[in-house]
Amino acid sequence: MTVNDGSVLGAVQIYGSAPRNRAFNIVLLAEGFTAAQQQEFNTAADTFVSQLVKTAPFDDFTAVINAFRVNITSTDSGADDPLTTDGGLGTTADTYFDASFGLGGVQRIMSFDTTRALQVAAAQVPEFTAALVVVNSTIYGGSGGMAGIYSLALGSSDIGMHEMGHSVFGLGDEYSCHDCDAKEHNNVHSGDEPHQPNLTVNRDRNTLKWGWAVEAATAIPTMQNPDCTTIDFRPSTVPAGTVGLFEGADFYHCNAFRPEFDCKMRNNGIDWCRVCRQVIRDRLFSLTTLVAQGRTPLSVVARDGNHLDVFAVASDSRTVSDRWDIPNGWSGWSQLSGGATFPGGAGSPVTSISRAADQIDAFTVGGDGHIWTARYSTFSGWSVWFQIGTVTARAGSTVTPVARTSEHLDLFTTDLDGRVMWTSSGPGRDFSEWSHLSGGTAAAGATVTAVCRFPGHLDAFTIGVEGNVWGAWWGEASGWSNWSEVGHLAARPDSTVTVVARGTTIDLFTTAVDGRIMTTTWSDSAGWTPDWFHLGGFASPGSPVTAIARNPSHIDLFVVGQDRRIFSTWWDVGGTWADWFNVSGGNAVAGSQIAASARFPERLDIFVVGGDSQVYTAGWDPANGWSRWWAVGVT
Amino acid sequence: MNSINENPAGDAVRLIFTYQHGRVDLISQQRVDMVVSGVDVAHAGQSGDFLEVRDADGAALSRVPIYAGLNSSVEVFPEKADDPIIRRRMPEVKRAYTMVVPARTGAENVAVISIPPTPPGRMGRSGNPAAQFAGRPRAAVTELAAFRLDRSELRSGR
Repeated sequence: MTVNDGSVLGAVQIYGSAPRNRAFNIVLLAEGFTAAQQQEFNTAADTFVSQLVKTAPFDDFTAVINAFRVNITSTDSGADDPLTTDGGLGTTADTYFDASFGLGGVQRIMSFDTTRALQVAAAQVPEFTAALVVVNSTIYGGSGGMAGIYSLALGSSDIGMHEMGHSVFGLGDEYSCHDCDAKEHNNVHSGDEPHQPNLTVNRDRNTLKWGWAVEAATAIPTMQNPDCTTIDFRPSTVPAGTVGLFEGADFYHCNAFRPEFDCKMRNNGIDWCRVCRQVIRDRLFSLTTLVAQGRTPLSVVARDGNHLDVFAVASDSRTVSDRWDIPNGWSGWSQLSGGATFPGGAGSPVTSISRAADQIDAFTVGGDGHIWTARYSTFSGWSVWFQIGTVTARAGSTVTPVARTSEHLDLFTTDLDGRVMWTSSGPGRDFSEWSHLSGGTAAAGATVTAVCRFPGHLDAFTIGVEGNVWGAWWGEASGWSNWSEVGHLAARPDSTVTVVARGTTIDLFTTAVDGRIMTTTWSDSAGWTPDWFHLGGFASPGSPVTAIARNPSHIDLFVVGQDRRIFSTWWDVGGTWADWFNVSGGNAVAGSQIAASARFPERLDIFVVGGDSQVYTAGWDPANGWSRWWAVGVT
Repeated sequence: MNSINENPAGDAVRLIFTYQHGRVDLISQQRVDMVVSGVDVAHAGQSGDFLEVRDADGAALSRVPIYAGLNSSVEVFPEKADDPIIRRRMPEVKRAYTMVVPARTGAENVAVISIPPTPPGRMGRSGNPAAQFAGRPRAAVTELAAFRLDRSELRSGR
């Protein structure tokens, strides 16, 4: 190849209209097409793209897919075909990327100037995600790498799909042969856990990477190779589409497993398996904006001043999160370890807590009604979801976590009968079985909230079945107290009793039956204030009051008003509550909740589900006041 | 950048480099206006090959996986659908790679690193999620090459 073997004519967008800087941009490069044959390349590019956008899961993400063809002329048509055996023709062609069949003496392996292909793709479409070289030949062939190459022969374009699985989505090879033509068989995998999301050596259902997709009735392992000296050619013993643990993957016959019997990462011409589809979905999903469940409470946690993690539930019940940090900004929405919440009612939220700067615990009620948790560490990323105990929660229940210390977690929720349930974990001790907290029963739709004012003490609150606010406390020596009514308030039955601790002082906020926003306070010296006090505002039905104490002398409140506008007020020690004001013109879904975080004492970040079901954020600091609202997505 | 609402679009760099016989050669770096989403940033304990963005003191700011892996093998695809795909070693082939890394405030260098897989017996086997993280060793990091980000290129076009 020389520079005289052709020229780049330019790029043409042939599919999509997504902003290039946040899209899956695929570039198809012409190779071996003469100036007179450019229309044939155009047709080939169109054919590939039309196939791609009909292929699951790409068909669900067409809004973030752009496709470009780069027309390039070559002096000659086709590609080098140097072999005179194995079907080769022993011919040469002067082409732009110097493509050739017969690499390593194997006719169908194609070589080309990959560096040049990447440079051309980067020059023509700097934002490209994947590049494929299309060779003007009907001889079957192709190969992979960061830029894949395939010919026009029937089935060759599948090579491009498979190679994108590697280079763009990080999928591993699910076949069990490496250099088999050279009689080199890899019999038993070393046991080092592969980093690819679709390969494993782990046989433990509880910690399996794709455990979220495995049905309880599916055997683990699902198929094992009876002869580790060869490929297992037996047909599947389970119905197609069964996700389990199938031996033979990562170039090894044994001790390496794949999620399904077959997949595009194992055989060309096959669709991607469910796990690989999910990996691809996660990548493309991060480029989209989230469509959230309208009334599902958001959760936000700040591991430290430089990190925020927001948790939500998508409109299809998937549990999702987005992460912000310095210096990378928002990472984009991604599904949390394959989880899905209980689909009933308004849906259960994902709640979260950070007990240490490198750790987050997330909780939700699963599709089976059980309580599930996943844990994030900066070292290992997100774990799979683990079931906590055997309690079956009421549809739409919230799991409220409280950290007494970095090693003690207490969880609260309501079971099918509305009973207030509690469990705890401690150093070296997993969660105990759920227990009924002092015989308490919550009103339908009411949550249980709790706070730790000082080590060795917990206070829990809920709305009782008669619509009054009740509290109970726990001491390390005494255990749980009986429930007692807090003042006398006719609260909306589905209210949340929001609790904030300022030192040993407790402030409670909730809504009365008519939507009035009410508060009361406990101090160790004076006990509860005589009765509940109306703060002046009204909440939309179902909207809880969000309260945050940036420091012991200051409280900020947020609520969705009856006109769906987002309101805030604040209070300083020694002063009175400020008038309610609308935050930056924002409005939210009626009945929804506002999540708030104070990364620093002088910094607030709040999050809401807007009227268009997207998640929005606004921030406050003393120098700039409230910012405008921004959609949370990817920076 | 302390506000979560700032949008520093364009603070990313596309690197093109080659790999052969354990040697990495940088071909080009190009400022590019595109997102590097969270799914493309590795956690600290992930094994594989990565581009690691570092600050002036050498501290890691982010790691982006080289999904295709640094290797010298080539896949052989069958013409007949029922025949298996295989992979062949071809050390004579120089592989070319392109990666886009976030290069926002403080990013000065990029290193190509390799981290071996988790050793056998170190995986969590318990139903307790804490067991997945307890006692995990910090994997050894092999640095294959390091490049200084071209700040003039990063600043151009702003």
